Amino acid sequence: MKLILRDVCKDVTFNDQRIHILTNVNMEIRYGEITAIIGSSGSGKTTLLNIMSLIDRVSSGNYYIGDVNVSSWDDNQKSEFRRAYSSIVFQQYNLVSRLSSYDNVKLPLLVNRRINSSDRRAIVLESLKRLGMEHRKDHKPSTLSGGEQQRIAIARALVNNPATIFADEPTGNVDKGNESIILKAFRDMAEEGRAVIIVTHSETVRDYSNKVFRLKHGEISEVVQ
Amino acid sequence: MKIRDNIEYGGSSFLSQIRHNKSIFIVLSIVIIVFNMTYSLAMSVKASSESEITDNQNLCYIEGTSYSDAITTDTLNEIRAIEGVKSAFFHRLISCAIEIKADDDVKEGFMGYQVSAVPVDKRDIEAITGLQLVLGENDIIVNESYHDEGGLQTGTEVFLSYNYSYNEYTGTRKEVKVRIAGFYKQPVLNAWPDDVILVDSSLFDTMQSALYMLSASDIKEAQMDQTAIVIIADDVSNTNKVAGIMKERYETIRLNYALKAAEGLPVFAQAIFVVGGIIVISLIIMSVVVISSTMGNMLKNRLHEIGIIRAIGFKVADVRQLLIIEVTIIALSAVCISMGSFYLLMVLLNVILAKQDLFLLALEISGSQILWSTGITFFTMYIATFKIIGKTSKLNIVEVLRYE
Ligand SMILES: Nc1ncnc2c1ncn2[C@@H]1O[C@H](COP(=O)(O)OP(=O)(O)OP(=O)(O)O)[C@@H](O)[C@H]1O
Ligand SMILES: [Mg+2]
Repeated sequence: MKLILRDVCKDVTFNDQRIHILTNVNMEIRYGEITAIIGSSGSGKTTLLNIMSLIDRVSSGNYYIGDVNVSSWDDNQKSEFRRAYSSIVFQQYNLVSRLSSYDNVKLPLLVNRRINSSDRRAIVLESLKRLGMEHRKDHKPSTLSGGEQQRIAIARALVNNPATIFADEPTGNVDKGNESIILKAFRDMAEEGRAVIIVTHSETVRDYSNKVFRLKHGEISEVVQ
Repeated sequence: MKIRDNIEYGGSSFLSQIRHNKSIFIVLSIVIIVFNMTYSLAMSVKASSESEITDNQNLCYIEGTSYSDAITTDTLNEIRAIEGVKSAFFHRLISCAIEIKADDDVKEGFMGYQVSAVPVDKRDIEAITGLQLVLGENDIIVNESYHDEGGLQTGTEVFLSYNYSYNEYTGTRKEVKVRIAGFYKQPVLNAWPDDVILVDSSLFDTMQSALYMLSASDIKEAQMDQTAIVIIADDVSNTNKVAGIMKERYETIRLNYALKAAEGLPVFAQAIFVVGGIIVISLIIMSVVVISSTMGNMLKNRLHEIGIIRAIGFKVADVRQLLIIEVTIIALSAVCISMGSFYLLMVLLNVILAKQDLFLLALEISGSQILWSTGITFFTMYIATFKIIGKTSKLNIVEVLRYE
């Protein structure tokens, strides 16, 4: 199984001006691997991740999940992919501010039909524990540090046990110890045959990755390690 | 998404937003209070008028009073001939008394009842009492409330005593032996006291000439007291028609009939309904505007949250369901709050009314009132929010997450 991008372009119109964010991006992401995407600020990494995680659409080109061209999918099918087969760790964490850590982590389970509601509590606590955040389960995001919020965001992404994980600078705000906890979790997932796609600036993350792509002014190239 | 999770999620977001719902609760409470006030008022008016209609067997009666000339016998006959008229007679009354004596000769220890005699013929008797009776000169029909009083029964022989004038200043009582031919339920007429006995017109004439020191023919000639008539329609449904014809033909006869009063009340109730309805509808429109802007602002604050759950995999339909549940919870609370405020207001009004010795309002809230209030609240909430819910659930995920 692979995620394949063919000649993907992303343009936006801003103040009547056309901005090319991504130009002719071609890449293949394999399941069972950690794929890193690096690039300077503003190079289009988040945009690329949004396209791959199906919350954004391509302007032109094709995106295949397995053999399926997702441009033929309607919103429900895309939502189905997001809820059942993938998770996103956002660069800005995007925790729901009025909900506790526990309830934030629980969110994906509300729309996951494979998990019984009676098992939820244990699963949520397990995910929080994995990131060392169990003691903060009743805290609202505003009472957490940046690094703690980031770990809650990761706990939320992992709770579903997704086949695909898109993580936008998931270790940008955490210390070395936590970084290695997170990366080990990602490596375990890859070893289980899942696809882990990480946008990063961190050298450590690159060391954990099987494949590294560099984005520069919207163009992609593979970095040979 | 499971409905239980949905309610839990909707409930928690409702609670977190409750401060912002204040204006929604206020406008909906105003709508519901005004609606219930109108409803209660109209219903009590309607109920009172309906009880009047069902309690009233007098709806066939029309009383007419001429305010210029006396009504001639010809006119009376014309009226009798109007289609739908069962009977019509001059309204004439004379005071007399029924006296029961243990012995004809013993004047001591008698019992007597002051009554009013009204002269009627066979046709009138049938119309008033439903009895097929021809009264002899010495027969009377007595108001049924006297039945068994002092042993009065059909067939009992009693004395009818009446005034006999010698001249303008002096007089005595005369009496005539009569037989009670029956009892009847007296209709309630404005002009009738509630002690009316029905007598044959010759007996009435005798009593009247005794009182006025005139011969019966002289009295007829003078058309004395022939200014009022009682008309009985053959059916309630014909009362209005007969009254209409009367009004048209005899402009100088003023009519008074129970059905007119009874029909005036539902019209009043309808007027309350119409006016109240217009006010309630305007208030609903106003609250739709207020609620949709309040909800619009509220949802604007929640775009980020909705963007997040959409990114997590909530479908458009899930989000829509979530928001509908939230609106439903708001509507349900609004029903409770507004009905509660309405009830409190009624209690308060009663306290004020009681202080001023005025009648008290009924404190019952009927099932249909609750149903209507709930319906209006939900209708208003859904109308006010369905568009914004549709729009919000279809938001652009990337856009709302970017604008954090
Ligand atoms: N909707 C938009 N309108 C205008 N410009 C946009 C829009 N979306 C993205 N851009 C621009 O596209 C470029 C790439 O944005 P993106 O968020 O993908 O960068 P990034 O590589 O994730 O940067 P960073 O490392 O700082 O997170 C930026 O220059 C940004 O300003
Ligand atoms: Mg970025």
